[in-house]
Amino acid sequence: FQPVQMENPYKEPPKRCILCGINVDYKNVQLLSQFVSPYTGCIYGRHITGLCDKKQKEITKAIKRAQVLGFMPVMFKNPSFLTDPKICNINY
Amino acid sequence: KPETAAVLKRTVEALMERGAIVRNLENLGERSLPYKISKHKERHRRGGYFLIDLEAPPSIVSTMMDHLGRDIDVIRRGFIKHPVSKTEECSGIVPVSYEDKLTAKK
Repeated sequence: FQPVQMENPYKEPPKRCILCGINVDYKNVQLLSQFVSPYTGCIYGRHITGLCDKKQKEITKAIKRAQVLGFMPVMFKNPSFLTDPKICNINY
Repeated sequence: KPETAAVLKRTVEALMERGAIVRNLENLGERSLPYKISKHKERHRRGGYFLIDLEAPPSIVSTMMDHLGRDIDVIRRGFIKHPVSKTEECSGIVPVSYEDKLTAKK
């Protein structure tokens, strides 16, 4: 018997980040504020958010855009979004 | 409120003059600004947000930014490319081998 060439049948589905499939918009400030520190307002890095390349880039661009256009505060997190569920891997 | 209507009318007319096709005008509500913006010798705390769907030649952008800059009632202006949403190809996290990246030649 010769070994049959086939694709790995035990392959796991590719790991998806939490935003895989969600369209990132500069207008939904709530989503963007979840990736911002509530104390300083700085954007969390890739090692904290755990997003893939594209999505992290999109999020940073959208956050900067929202901050410039006056949708999102810069130096802090919008207080009405402080009680959002924790997405990022951070311990305060 | 009639003032905001007048401002919108003025901007849309100016856009139509330069040959822009207005597809849609959305009102994103009036809320307090995230930070106090000082514009035209006044410190603003509340503002109305409006979104205009446009189709226009790119040469309009600079003239319109000028025009909106001179308008006292407009606090902040901006042109953004229309987002074409296509997130059906998201293939998840592709495992990247860092060794290859490090030893790769340019």
